[in-house]
Amino acid sequence: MEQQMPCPVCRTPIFFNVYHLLQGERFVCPNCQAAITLSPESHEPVQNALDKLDKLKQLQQK
Amino acid sequence: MENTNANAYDRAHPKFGAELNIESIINAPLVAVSKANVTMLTGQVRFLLDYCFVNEHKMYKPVMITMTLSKGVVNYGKQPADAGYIQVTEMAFQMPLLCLLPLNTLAIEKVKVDFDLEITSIGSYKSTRKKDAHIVARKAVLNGRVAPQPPRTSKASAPHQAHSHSHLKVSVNAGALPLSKGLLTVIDLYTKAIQPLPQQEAADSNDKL
Repeated sequence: MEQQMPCPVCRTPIFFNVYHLLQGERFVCPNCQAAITLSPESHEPVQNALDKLDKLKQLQQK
Repeated sequence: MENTNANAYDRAHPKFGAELNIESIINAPLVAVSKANVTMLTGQVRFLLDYCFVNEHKMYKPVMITMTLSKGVVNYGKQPADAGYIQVTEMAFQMPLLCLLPLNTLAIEKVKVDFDLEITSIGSYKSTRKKDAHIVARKAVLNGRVAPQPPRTSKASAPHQAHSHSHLKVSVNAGALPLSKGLLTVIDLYTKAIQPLPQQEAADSNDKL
């Protein structure tokens, strides 16, 4: 699922995928070329929350 | 107490041919679907409150995630041919975890209830509402039961057999629905507030806190 956030510099929407962000991928603003990445210290809380969310979705789809 | 025992007995030993008010027969699968929807939504709200917010002094504060922004900045003190004319600067910014997760509302999208209803008796009762009284003095009550499944055999000579189950088919499709307006507003509010802070300033502001 692709998401978007406004570029912190020029507010142009940057499309990103959180799973790719976790793998260290950079997402670049199409307008000002600013690149966003996830800081290493934030990997763990994001990974934990994603795991829980995936588990919840699997439970509900059963 | 006796009533509770009777209810428990009814649930454990379903009577397929029992006569019921037609409204309750139609209501039952819809109520079950509605309850399932509530269970799914409650689970998602619990997830949001447990993992995306921190409860501090009876106030929910969003869990913030640090991200890094890298951007090339031109150093006008140097010539374009010089090394370091374009310097890549890194800034940290924080955004709520809520804005990062691929959230969607998983709920029951489509329900199809299919059954044959056999009307077993018809009654009526006096309308108690004054507004309705001059239109219809009495209201109809239909009682019925879910009709038994037709025999599967195509042979006309096959003897009729009593079936132990009735024909009631409920098909449910769960799908991803758009997020609720309230949650979208919260995400939009946080997303619009995303502003980068240079590393030094970020460290200073953390010290002040």
